[in-house]
Amino acid sequence: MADSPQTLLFGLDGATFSVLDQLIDEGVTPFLGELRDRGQWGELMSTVNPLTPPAWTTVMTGRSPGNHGIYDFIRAEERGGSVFFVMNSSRDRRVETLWEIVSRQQRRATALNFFGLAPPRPVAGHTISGFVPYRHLRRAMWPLELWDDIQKLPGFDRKELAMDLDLEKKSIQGLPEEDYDDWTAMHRRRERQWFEIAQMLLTNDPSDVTAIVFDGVDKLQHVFWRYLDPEMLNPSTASPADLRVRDLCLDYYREVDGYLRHLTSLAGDDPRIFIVSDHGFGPTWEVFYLNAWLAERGYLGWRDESDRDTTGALTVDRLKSHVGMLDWDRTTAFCLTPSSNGVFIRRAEAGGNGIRAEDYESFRTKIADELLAWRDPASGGQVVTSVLTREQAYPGTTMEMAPDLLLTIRDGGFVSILNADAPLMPRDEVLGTHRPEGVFMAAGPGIEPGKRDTPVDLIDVTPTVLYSLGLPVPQDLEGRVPEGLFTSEHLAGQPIESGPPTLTPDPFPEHRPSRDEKALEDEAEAEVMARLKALGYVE
Amino acid sequence: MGNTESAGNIDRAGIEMATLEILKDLTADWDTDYAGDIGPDTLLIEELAFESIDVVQLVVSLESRFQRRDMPFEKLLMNDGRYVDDIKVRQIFEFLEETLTGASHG
Repeated sequence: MADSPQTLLFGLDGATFSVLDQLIDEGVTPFLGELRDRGQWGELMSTVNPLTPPAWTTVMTGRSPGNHGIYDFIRAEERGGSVFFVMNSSRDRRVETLWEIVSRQQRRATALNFFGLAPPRPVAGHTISGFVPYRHLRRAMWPLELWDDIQKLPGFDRKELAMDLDLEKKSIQGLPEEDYDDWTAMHRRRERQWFEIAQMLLTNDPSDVTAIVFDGVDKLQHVFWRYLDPEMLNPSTASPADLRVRDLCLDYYREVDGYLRHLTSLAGDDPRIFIVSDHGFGPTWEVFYLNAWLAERGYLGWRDESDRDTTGALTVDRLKSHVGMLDWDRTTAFCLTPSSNGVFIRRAEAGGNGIRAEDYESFRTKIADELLAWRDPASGGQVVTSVLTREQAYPGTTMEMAPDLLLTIRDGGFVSILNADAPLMPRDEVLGTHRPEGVFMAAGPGIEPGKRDTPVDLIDVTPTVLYSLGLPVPQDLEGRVPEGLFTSEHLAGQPIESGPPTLTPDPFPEHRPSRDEKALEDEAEAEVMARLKALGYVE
Repeated sequence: MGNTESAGNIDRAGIEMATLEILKDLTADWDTDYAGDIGPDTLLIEELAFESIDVVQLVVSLESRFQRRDMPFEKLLMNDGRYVDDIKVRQIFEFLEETLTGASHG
């Protein structure tokens, strides 16, 4: 281990101060309260589309989506006149991760439950990808032998540790009341499992930086926002039934707070702690059916016009069903996933019936103008409050993979990709949805305490962790160590150093040494070093 | 190096062996009712209970094994703009042979 204190990076998916402030004040999360008192805290601005895959990828690369290449859970590719969808994986990320940067500088990194770490890439330390179905979990970790260890942990259940796609969809589309208890209990067990893994690694095989994402915060806030938002529920006047649901959620936050405290206690005498969320949260009260809107204007055709949603759903159970719902011969613009909040324009050069290159700009501008001009028939209010071109939203080397337009809806919600009788429908009940303003907290040696006046950006997290480890910040990272985060004394003793650029990842890191092979490699390396020393080449 | 294949020197037998090995490893600990061996006539969805995301994982594994990222899997997985209802293992063999060696199956 190096001289720098151990660094802990705790991810709370979707955490927001609009909930945490109250939980801290009520004493539900005392550890977070202590961090706020002794450390620095403030808003953390998410990626332009505040969504898990691009946002966590930005956290662990220090690059914006336009450069790291991850825009959504999946991406659409136009091939031979058909639209083909592909699930994003580590192979689609075009830049190095923090864990790889750390590893090749003779430090160790442990990263648990971050999006897009599968197939695994070699690191000095450990990675277990989040957002992987149970059937593929054992292949989603580095080293692969880690699977043997985690199966022995108390309460191990691979199905609950992994991602369940059907449960994921439930979380953004609402949940029957009879499922509330099971839903929260499952997420508590799930976080317990991730905690057990982190505890085992911090105890038996610690790294210089240990990072873990607890993603149940996001799942609970999607479903239970109306019980958690202080502006929607006042605990002193709420009904017993509402308070019961709120208490289910508070038990979750209380336990996670305890896990953070316990993991911190395992990380040396005085670790440096960073807490980040990939995005914030807020209420959503209506559904905008983007594909239905596009169909009304002749940009999109349905195979079966009568297949319409009346429930406020955002997507179908199976994505391939959605691909089959569209009449591609009559479709020039479409939205592939609710989470993209984007419009994809089909291009003639891809082989289908898309828009010719010379017509592209005017076609795209026309859709953007029409979206911004469209009004809620009931109130006359503007529904789409912002439309960005991909040049505006996603500048960078991978921009061609991004949606052609990125929308922001007035309630901050995700669009529906289904057909409906009208493009706008109020929800039966308010749910939670993403907002750009997440949380940032930092505490430990050299951290300047107090509330920040200016937000930190997600792209600042990787440079900050590298600096915390005493490593140079690669010159091609887009972020920086936030001004005012460290004390001037600390900065004087350890100036921020710019280092060589990051490396381009090998898309097929197939040589995966097992633990035994790694030990042999280490021995061989030690032997070579001994010879070089004997020859006087190294000291 | 590990278990990768160079696309340049692979033949049908090598493709079949590699594909079956991947399928067996992929499905080794799935909770499904299928108890038979995986062979050319095995159906991915009806018999092995593949879901969309499993097909994606299969594609990732095949791309890694053959170290190719540009294989046109849409020819295997889509027909007339829709995803096919099911796929036999033999169809994967034929697709890979056609893609990697240029052999035609009409």
